[in-house]
Amino acid sequence: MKTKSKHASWVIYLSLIIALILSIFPLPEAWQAYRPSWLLLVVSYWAIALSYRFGLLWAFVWGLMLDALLGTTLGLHSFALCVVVFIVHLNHKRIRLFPHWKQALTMGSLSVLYLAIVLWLSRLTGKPAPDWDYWFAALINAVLWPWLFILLRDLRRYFKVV
Amino acid sequence: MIIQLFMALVVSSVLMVLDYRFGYLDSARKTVSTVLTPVYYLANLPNEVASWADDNIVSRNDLQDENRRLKDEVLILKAQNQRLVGLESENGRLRALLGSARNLRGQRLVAEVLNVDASKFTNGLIINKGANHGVFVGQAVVDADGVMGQITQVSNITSRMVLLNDPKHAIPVRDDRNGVRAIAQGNGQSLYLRHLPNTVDIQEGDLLLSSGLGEKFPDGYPVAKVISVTKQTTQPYAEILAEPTANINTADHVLLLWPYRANEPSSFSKEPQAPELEDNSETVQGVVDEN
Repeated sequence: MKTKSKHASWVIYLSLIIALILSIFPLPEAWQAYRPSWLLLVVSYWAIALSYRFGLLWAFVWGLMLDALLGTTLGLHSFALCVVVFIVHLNHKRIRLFPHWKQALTMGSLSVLYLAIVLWLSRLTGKPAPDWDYWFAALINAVLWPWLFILLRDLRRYFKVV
Repeated sequence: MIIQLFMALVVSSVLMVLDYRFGYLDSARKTVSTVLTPVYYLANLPNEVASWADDNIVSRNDLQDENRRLKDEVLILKAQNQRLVGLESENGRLRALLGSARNLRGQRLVAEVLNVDASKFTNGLIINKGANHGVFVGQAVVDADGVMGQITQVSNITSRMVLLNDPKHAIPVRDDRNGVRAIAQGNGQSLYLRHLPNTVDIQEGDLLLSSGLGEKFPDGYPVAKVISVTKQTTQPYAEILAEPTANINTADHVLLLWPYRANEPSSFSKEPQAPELEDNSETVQGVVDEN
């Protein structure tokens, strides 16, 4: 029972760390805009799947880490992630039952919200306005979501993360 | 639940205000970035593997060619350097006569650029030297061809620098041809010179050197080359664009500069001992290239 009591949390940590690495993974200049919001997707997945233990505190802490990595004002990504995780928590039972395309659509709209909050807060802290293709990440997030969802779900079941 | 959200949002807002407005969180940021340093290195891993392969999977012929080329280069640079020693001491004597000291040489350290995309809204780079190596915020960074930018955040083993062409960065410069002084601000791609009258004597192709007036950057390093001068009588100021001479987008090694300290021995009088503490000749080299 000892292994059970640990709930295999390391799977969660590992997935979040990989999301952080992918967030700063070097891409060619032209592909910059098509980088998905990895941390948002992974955090949303755990918030849907394990809503009883993956709460706002996680979103807050991992948002801070993303801020430190990206050199943005501390608290910027925490703010955006907390808002998204809150909405996900309110609807997690419904989202779980959605077919994949509807989940993707939901994640697309949540990504738009997330990107908008990040953009507003960056503008407030004096960063220049990005090009219109900044919003393209929302579409990529939506397309990527079903695959990421299946992958993380299988991992969660295999390692019995509860 | 809603109270939790409210608290999280209030805490993150307070953090943002403290960080952005007052800069109270520098030590917290330093700690978090230090803990997260492995993430930078992991993201940089493919790049590392590629450069390892570049270094190790080379034919003997290529190495011999490279060796020959480097030897030629060293010979040419050495010959140039001989001239510089003379010029340097002559310059020193003349300045002593005028009673003005010009402090050019401090300590130097080569740093490697980590190939990660860690700056979404700014033009910045992460380098692999940090507070443990004595790097400090505001330190000047140059590469072989000119000024690159300055350090903005420091963790124990990495630091973040802002590039010259970032819209929030400006550097005091002077025209090498006639000494006209200006402020060069970034615009995301290149630099533009602010608030210069239409009558100013700056031409296309002029080399702009750092003037040292802001006391952030040492004096006399090449900064940019003027690429276009537009003078319209309807506009109050001339529109002058300049391109950084440093390889801002391609550099993989940069040089960190420390301000000169009086008790340090002159670096021309001794050979550099540690491979990383190098005597620097590109200060003057940029000028020599120009001649």
